[in-house]
Amino acid sequence: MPGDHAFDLKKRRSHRLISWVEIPLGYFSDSMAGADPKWQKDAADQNFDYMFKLLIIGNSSVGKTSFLFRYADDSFTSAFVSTVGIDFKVKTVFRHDKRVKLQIWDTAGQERYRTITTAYYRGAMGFILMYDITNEESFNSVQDWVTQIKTYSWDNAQVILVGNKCDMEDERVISFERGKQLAEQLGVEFYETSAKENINVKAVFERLVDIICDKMSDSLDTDPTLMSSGAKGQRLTDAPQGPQAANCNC
Amino acid sequence: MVDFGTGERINRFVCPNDRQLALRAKLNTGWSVKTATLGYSQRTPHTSPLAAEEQEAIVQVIQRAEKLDLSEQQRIGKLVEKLENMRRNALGKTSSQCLLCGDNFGLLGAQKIVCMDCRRLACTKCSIDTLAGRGPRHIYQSSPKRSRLLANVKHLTKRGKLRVRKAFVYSTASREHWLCMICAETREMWKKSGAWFYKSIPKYVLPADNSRISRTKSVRTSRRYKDDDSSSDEERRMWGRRKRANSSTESALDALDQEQHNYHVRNSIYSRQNSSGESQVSREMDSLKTQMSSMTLNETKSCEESGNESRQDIEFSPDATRRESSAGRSLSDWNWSMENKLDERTSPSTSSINSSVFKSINEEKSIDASLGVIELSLTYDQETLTLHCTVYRAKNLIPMDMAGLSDPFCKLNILPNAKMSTRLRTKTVHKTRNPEFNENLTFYDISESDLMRKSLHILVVDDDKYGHDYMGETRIKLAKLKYQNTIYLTVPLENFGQEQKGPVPTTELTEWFDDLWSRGQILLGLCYNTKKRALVVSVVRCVNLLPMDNNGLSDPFVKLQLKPDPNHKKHKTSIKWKNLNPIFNEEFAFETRPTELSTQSLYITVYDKDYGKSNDYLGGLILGGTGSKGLRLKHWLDMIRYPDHRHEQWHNLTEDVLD
Repeated sequence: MPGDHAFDLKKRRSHRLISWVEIPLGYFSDSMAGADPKWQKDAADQNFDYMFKLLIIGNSSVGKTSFLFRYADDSFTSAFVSTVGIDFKVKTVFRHDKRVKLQIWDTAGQERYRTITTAYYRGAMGFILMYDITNEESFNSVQDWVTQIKTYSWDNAQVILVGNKCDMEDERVISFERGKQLAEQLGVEFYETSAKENINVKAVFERLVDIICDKMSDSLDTDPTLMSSGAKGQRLTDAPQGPQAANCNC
Repeated sequence: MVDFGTGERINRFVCPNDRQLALRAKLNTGWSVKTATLGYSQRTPHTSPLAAEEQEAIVQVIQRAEKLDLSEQQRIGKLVEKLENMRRNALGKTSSQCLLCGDNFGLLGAQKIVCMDCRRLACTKCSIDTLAGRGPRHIYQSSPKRSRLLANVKHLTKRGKLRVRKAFVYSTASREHWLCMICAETREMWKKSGAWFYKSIPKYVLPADNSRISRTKSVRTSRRYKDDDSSSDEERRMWGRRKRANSSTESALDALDQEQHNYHVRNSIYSRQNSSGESQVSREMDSLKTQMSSMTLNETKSCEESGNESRQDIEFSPDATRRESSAGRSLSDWNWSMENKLDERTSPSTSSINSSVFKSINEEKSIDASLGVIELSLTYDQETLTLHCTVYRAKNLIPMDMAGLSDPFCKLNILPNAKMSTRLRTKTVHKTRNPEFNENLTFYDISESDLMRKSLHILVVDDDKYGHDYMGETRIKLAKLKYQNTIYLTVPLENFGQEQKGPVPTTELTEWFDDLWSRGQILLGLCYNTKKRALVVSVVRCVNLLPMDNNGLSDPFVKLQLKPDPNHKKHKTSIKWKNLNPIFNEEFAFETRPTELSTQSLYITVYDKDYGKSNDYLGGLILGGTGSKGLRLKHWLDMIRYPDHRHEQWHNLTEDVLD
């Protein structure tokens, strides 16, 4: 691939691409000074191997948007602005010699947007289920969120439980153990993070990508019949249920 | 799409919809739980619609997402196309050849590998070891399962059976872990497109140079009914049908452009997404059956209403057939086209019964459907006893020349029939694999009894100065026209055993082919000998040569010349007296370098020896060089690619005089 070559050149220049290296948004374009928001360039870029769609859910004001901003833009603001409905960011990362493009959906925690947000569960391969360690109610809602995931997502979607705001030790009401216990009960992995102090943010995404990667190789190796049956139907119906939840009105 | 806030309001007095019921089932809480009070319906108290700016913000995000989705669909389209090209370019036709490169297996030939996914045969060069990086030798250490096997072997050692077992373990192990390139690529595509997750390939947009698709809706309609969809079973079926109609109109659009049909119904038959279960297959058959019946209804209605303007098209998802056939294991679809051909596309009930029977038989054969499809319509006029045949187009024909293109034309004939008058041909469309013929051909003097007995044979041939190459054929029984004046067909082309017998097909067709290749055929062997540094040409035999002498026979001999050749060497075989099917078995060497071979051509000419006057020209042939196509090109390239191997091939002689 010619693209690879160009990539190699860049690689040599920066000595960053070792294993898990974030490729800065717009890295490949020469006109980096352009006024375009970074995501646009990244979004249009087709030079990647896999595309994973991730979804961050959790009660209102647990820090989903901050979490995403910290990861995608490495920025943080403590001002609270409620997300309107839904938003997403795109980030390409390098993992196991593969370029993985992440489309990370940030959802509104508020009840009133639930119709919209649940529509996006369908396309998501991974979920970051977030609660606020200083907020008992957000922790108690975790079970409800799991129910939501079970209802609306694909069966093999991967979930990670995240307790956010772990920098606020003084106001902590949910202990690490409780979070850990719940995660075990649900059969998911668990992290405590802080978007403000940038603790474990990257680790969560890395882990989720890893889990999905593993799942991916498993699914094809263990069940090669999948491809034949699926490929057949795909062609004949011309109507696969892809991640086009955006068109879904339900 | 934009009534976000209001959504669906749940009426407590109405039976919950499917989604609600599915939710109840998933919760395992029994039926007493009011799912209406769970999940998103909780917002009932505040159903205040979203403010305008909120809506706008959301719509913007959605548009952004759609843009991303589109680019993703294009990316997947590229992947799909890449894979399809790979499948299309697979050369293997028989089970003794590598699926991809067409190399023959054997002691000296390629090493045979059974692909673990598609179970077809490929050579080691065209497949990859999934335990990549570790050769088969290291398999023992590679996985726990292997080591367990090894443990078994060790046990047996005590009884002295080690060697046998070990060999067995080795061979199965190594064979079980090979994937042919196509399957490997398929896997990769499934990973890259996310199909592994969604259990089917997401919707995609093929790259724009594929004119047929880009011309129509670039984004495929896509909505697949899932079990938890909120529609009832009835609705779902309706959906399915509507959707099928949609997807067929898509491919029918280009037909519309040109023919300006006022009324256009196209009933194409698509099987649905299924998970290779038997029950699923039979359900599919049922749905097809219902479609068939609805189709015949439509047919009669449309005939009454608008006579010949009506258009009823039966499409046996040819694209799908082609793709799936190369996928190998997707049998049910393929069976459809096969059986329907046998059954003249009339009796779905029998075919649904047969399908399970045919399943295993057709597995090997499925490759043949890759020859492309042809679209045509047939109209029978009872009063004038004429049969009008309109050939619209062919699609996805096999490539013939270096550039991957062909110069196809169709030969049509009503068979069985000895009369020359029933042979018609379309014009040649140059340099394309998707020719638009749009030609009306009329057969005269076809009685109704003829219809019952006879069939229309269509032969797609690659036009070439040095002989026409066979690209596929199909036969359509005319009996169907008895009940219906006009039929529209999309039929896949087939290959009736061209490979094995050389260019002499079934006896029934021999006469017709004779007309095409009237100059006879020659069996030639080519081999580049690296030791002698020479091209060794063996003239094995000729058949069906023209009689040139008064006695009804000829005295043939073959002249060979390599051009351009610095040595200016010419060779001649001996003369076989009074023989139209001479056997020569003579070998000749031309000294040349392998690098030059690609620019050189071999001129083969067959003459009738005459004394006292100049020799009569019987036929000729050019192999290699720039103008070479089809079998002649393949033969020449094979010879260059695999030196020190003898490549034998039948060729047609052409009447064009070569100098």
